[in-house]
Amino acid sequence: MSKQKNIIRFILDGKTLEVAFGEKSGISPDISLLHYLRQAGHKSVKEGCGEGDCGACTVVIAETCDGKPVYKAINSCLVLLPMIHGCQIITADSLSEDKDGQAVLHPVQKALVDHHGSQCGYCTPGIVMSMFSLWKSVQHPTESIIKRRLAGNLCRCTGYQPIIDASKQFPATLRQDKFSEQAKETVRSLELIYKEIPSLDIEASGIRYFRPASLKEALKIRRNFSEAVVINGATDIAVQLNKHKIKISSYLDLSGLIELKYSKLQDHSIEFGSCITIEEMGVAVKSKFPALYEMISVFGSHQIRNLATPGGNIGSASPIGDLLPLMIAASARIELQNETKKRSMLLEEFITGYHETRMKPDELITKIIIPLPTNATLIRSYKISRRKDVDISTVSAGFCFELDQEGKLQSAKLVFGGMAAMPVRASAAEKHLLHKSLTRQNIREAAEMVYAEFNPISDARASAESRRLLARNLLISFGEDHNK
Amino acid sequence: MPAEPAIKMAEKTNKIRMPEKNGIDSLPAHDSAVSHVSGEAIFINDMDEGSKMLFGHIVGSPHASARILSVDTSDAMKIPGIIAILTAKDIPGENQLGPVVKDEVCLAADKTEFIGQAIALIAAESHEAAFEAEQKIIIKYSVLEPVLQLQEAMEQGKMISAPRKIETGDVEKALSESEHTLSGELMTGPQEHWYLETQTCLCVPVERSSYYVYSSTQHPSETQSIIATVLGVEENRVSVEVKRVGGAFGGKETQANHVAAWASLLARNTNRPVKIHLSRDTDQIMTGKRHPFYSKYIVGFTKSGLIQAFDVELNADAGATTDLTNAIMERAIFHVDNAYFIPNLRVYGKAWKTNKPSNTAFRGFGAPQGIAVIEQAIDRIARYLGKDAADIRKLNFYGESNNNITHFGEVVENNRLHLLWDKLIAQSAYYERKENVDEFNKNNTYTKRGIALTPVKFGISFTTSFLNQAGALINIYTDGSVLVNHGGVEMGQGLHSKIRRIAALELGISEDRVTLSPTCTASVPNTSATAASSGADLNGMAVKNACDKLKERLRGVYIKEMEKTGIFEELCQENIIFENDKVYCKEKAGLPFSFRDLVKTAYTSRVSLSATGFYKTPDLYFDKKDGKGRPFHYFAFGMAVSEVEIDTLTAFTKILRTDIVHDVGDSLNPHIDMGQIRGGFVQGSGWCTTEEIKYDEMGHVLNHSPDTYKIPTIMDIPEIFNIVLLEKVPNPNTIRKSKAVGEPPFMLAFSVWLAIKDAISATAGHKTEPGFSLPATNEVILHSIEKLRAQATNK
Ligand SMILES: Cc1cc2nc3c(=O)[nH]c(=O)nc-3n(C[C@H](O)[C@H](O)[C@H](O)COP(=O)(O)OP(=O)(O)OC[C@H]3O[C@@H](n4cnc5c(N)ncnc54)[C@H](O)[C@@H]3O)c2cc1C
Ligand code: FES
Ligand code: FES
Repeated sequence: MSKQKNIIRFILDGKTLEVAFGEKSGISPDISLLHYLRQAGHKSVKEGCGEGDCGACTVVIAETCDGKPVYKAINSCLVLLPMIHGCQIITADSLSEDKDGQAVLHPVQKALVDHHGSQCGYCTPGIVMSMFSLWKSVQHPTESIIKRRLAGNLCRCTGYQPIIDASKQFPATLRQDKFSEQAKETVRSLELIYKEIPSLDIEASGIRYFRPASLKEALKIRRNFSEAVVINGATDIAVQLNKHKIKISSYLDLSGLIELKYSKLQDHSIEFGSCITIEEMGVAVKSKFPALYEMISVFGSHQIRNLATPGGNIGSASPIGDLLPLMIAASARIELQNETKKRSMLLEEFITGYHETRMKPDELITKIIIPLPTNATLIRSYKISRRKDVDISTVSAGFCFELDQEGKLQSAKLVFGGMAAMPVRASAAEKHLLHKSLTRQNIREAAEMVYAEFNPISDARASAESRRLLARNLLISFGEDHNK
Repeated sequence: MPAEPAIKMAEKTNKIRMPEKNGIDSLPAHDSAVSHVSGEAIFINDMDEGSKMLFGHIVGSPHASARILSVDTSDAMKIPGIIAILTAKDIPGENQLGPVVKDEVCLAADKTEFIGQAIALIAAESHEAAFEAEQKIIIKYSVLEPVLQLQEAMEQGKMISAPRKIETGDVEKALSESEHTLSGELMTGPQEHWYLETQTCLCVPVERSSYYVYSSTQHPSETQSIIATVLGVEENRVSVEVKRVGGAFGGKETQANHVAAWASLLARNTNRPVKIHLSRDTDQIMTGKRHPFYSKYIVGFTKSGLIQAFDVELNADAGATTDLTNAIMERAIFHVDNAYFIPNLRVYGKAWKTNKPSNTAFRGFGAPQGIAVIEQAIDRIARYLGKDAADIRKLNFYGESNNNITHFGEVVENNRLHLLWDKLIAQSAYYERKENVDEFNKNNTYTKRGIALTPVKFGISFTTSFLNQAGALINIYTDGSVLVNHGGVEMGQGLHSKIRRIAALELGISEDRVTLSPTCTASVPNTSATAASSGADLNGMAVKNACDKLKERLRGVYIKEMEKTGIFEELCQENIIFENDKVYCKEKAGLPFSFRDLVKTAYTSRVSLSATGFYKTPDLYFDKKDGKGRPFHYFAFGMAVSEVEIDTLTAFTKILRTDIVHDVGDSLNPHIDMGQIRGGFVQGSGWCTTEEIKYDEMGHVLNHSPDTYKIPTIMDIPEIFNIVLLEKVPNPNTIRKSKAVGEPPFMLAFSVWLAIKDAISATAGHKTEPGFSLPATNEVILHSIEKLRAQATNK
């Protein structure tokens, strides 16, 4: 074990590679996957922003799930190299196949060439990889699926249409390529990696990096190294690292906690492990909880959703964390755990201020339990941003109303993001609505109270006045829909 | 079964056989398409010069306006891995980057004029060391009050260059005699280029104080000359090479010179290769944008909507230095008429200095800012008269044989506006849909739709006449393969693909026998920027000129060979044809030479197989004093109809459908031209909608990364997007009768902008003029609707 202390393994270019961190290799455990790949000669992986917004750095990782590889497009600029321990990494320059000494383009690459989908070409390898993950996972993608899967890839040249056309016209042939041919072997190799090195404890280049394989282990590390920064998908943390805003000397990486990557549907609630990805969460709630699904569908990009977790969204306790208003409105509870005990509380109580929570230094967020809407509940989510997709909220909201048999409000929760230092309830408006019915008039009155209730900031996204108007309008919008 | 495209990884070639198809589809993909998708395409940041290579890092000013009191780099120099730190005093040549006007220092010495202005340069063995060193450099400032707002600069009289004016007719008189007049103002915002590849340069010192520079520039010759100026060496010591640029859009026309000059200074000082690749945030903070304009106008018109007079003042926010502002203002002035004949027109252009990075070229080059004003004015005329804005536009279009002289005296020849109108009205079913939109709006309170038609007429040529020249160098090798060098830069627009086709067609050989060399100042010198949409026009002609020279020589060889056989006697040059990889005589069938064999024979006969080509656009002139002349070789035309839907509560906008008909003459490559139209339109709609830049009161740009600066994603393009090229409209006097296409489509996005306004206007029954500006962000839309609603309740 000690001999294996500072190494990770993954598959790249069809081979299992081992990286030993430290002075000798010159590779530090906090290197991004993007920079590692570029250093390793995979120059097709481009950096366009270093913050998850452009998709030029998109690569696909394959993980095993039920004995099969699952392909996920991710932003390599937001991934710390140890996070891909036990994965296969696929880049645009490793897609083509060798046939009789000649490299033959992969079908997605060929489709893009045939449809004139590149101009300057800088975004193209990233686009190819998003298309590849789509090709691997959806047989007949509709235009709307294609757009959703590619929204995280900015292209300034083409106007996108040829990329959509290329993605639509993937040859209808069976989705066979060299990766499917080698799938069994890949799975075996990946499982072997996990068997031989289940958890990581790296100490190199002045950095301590833990990636435990079990919650038990994680909680022990949490107790002993409470200064270690917890990361999950790292989509928040990595941006700050890339922009030199923070320096971190020790990490507790939860991305290996398979036991916390689950969703469980119960009679009256749905429960999530805190390490499930937002994308997987979306799949789980699509039919059971449309309001949550809608929120998730405008959460970052596909690549971001493949990394980001609810644990991280709650852990950040940001005023513009998109899951928060709706989950607070829905009376979601979270479970916290340390080595000895568990405790649970309402999410609303957990968040206490701007990036502040009630979490203790030895605890981790382990579960999120959201009551499912009943027949008597009206629940809606809203997100306003300057650009509809891949944008941070200007204002977001979650509304939850419980109606009695006469259609009068038994309870009303109006939770807004972007209006204060943390997600907040519009209490005056809530009070106004209580025991009333949801008529246009009543809602309008409440909406005016929403307008008056907050004192938001002006920033790069919007002015304070715009935020107030938008918050008000969201309630009006609800009223209009409701009374249609 | 068509052959599968294949690439030989080892060879890094583009020799890939595309499936054989007919017609348009037989045209090959972008010259680099296969390398793009396979990830082989190398950009400068992908180049490694081994362990000797250093990373260049720029230390910029944190203040928008300040005196620099002292710079202390001594602590920073002690950090391991720091090889050099340079300030203005270390510049061996001139401390000057100004491309036209010499008002732009390379490194600030005594004062800084914008946030991000370079003060010191660091050469380090790693990025980390450079960052550490930056923290240790101590610069003392005496902070001054900056001028940040355009209006503020105007009030303080901070004009950056002499004002311009062009006038035709008698505006005062016509205005006073007009049945109606409207006056107004318009603010159009800045736009960040957001090329995917940020500014990049790698400078490699070679023997005897010479430098080989890989630069992501649109203007290699100027980059070369500026490097030579700051290094204090002659231009023949500096070679600038550009293989491909990862997007430019004007942002690398002059502002690529900066990183190139800085990298070269560091390379010269350390005698090691130095690479600078700006981070996204640094790029967005330090480099210039599209010029924001504040414009005021009065328009006079008849009751039917015929415009009689237009008096307009354009004010540009130049930023801290002149850069290309004067030429940009000139183009704005030339385009205030857009597609309309306005008999009495007066336009003033004034550019003002503010403490922001110097604004610069951006697709359209001032024309969008100029055109926005008249389009807004017409939109208002229509609302004022209660008429359809498209009809007012049509009414005012330039005529085909009369009413066809612009305010700067150029005749609008080969006017395609009326042809485009007919096609577009039919294709888009404009009038039916307009009715549907009204119907929809009647039935919906909170969701509103809007529709707008806008045209563009865009002058093609650099307005600075001498820039309209180009060079080429063509080498034929003894195996008959051809290498083309030309002065244009490939930045995604497909220039190399077009040039390759031109060379192949001119030489009568197949395209796979032609390869394009990276653009290099050592092979083709003294070129103009690849800009003003003119890349294919100018360089294509220069390439043709070189091909003509080579063909003449090869014909000579052919004639000699034929004479030897004694079969043909009096062969004349014109009858010898280059076609299908063969050279033969038209009149006397038989005895064709393969191109390859003829080339070989030429070689053994000691005939030169290399030729330069040159082109200058004919008949361009402009008299700046009286504001008249013929600055443009021709005009390009396009027209679009867009329909949008807005949610008036959240102000979210969807583009439901866009139809475009565009005039590209005889297209050199329809795929590429469609790509330019699509891309330009989407980029334009970004400028018109979500791309907003805000500053704080200190002058910090708040939207300096894609987190807050929002360009269109795949979700933002029109849900239905139809583009048609006008057919059978050859353009006289250009390369293979084609037309430039890079910039004009950008301005078709005004159809989106005004469709949004139409939808807003619908919330008040089109009775009240809504407040509006550009970009129409959801904040602008929200406040505009809020105001309309408040006015309605107060009534
Ligand atoms: C391009 C881009 C787009 C984005 N778009 C959106 C968006 O639309 N909506 C939105 O809400 N957010 C968005 N984000 C922000 C971010 O993705 C989300 O907040 C995400 O949920 C964070 O999850 P993570 O697992 O990546 O967090 P991490 O970065 O790993 O962690 C975030 C914080 O939570 C703490 N933490 C994580 N897991 C736990 C745990 N189990 N227990 C205790 N503490 C924990 C960490 O210590 C850290 O402080 C975006 C980010 C990027 C880069
Ligand atoms: S570099 Fe832009 S998303 Fe990673
Ligand atoms: S092709 Fe240039 S950014 Fe996409």
